[in-house]
Amino acid sequence: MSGHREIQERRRAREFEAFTAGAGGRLLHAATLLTGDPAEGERLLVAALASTFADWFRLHGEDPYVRTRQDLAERFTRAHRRYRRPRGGVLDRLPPAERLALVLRVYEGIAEEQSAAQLGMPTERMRTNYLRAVALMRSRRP
Amino acid sequence: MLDLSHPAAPPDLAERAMARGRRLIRLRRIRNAVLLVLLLAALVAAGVTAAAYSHPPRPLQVTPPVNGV
Repeated sequence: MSGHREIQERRRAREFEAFTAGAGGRLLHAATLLTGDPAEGERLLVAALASTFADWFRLHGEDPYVRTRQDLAERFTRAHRRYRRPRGGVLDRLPPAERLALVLRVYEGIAEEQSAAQLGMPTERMRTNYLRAVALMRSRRP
Repeated sequence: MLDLSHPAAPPDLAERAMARGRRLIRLRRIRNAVLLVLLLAALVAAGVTAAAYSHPPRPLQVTPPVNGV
């Protein structure tokens, strides 16, 4: 019984390490774009990855990358207030909600309907945030 | 604009995530065990209570006096 569990845990660690080796850089980039600060992005990503690791055998065919990205977006949304103050980065001039809309749509290439549904907000609001983000990025050149 | 090259992920990223994930699993297991114990305790308490109150009232031990006729 414990031998079976040990084998399962080893498999979990092996598969998770392979996944992180492949997707870690891209996810870290997305997290850093969101938070503006590399250390803060890493903190957010480690939390999201830990949750994916814990649920590794309960993904039921879901892509771990999609799952981690989703968790990342949710954590970021929950901690909005924390990221209100600009912290540097390319998207420094955008408020958090606009930053999220832009990263999900442009960097991750997710359709608005999908990202809105995943975050439980109206599609219209996601679109407005995205359009505002684009307008803000175009308006003031640093 | 967003097409910067990826920053190199720190080599210990997976290790840190796994450490935190294992803690998450452990806490989840403890929580489930506590919930299970609480559930069992509630079932036992409900059973005991039901058993205690389910007896019909005992018949009287004394015969009531018969007066008159």
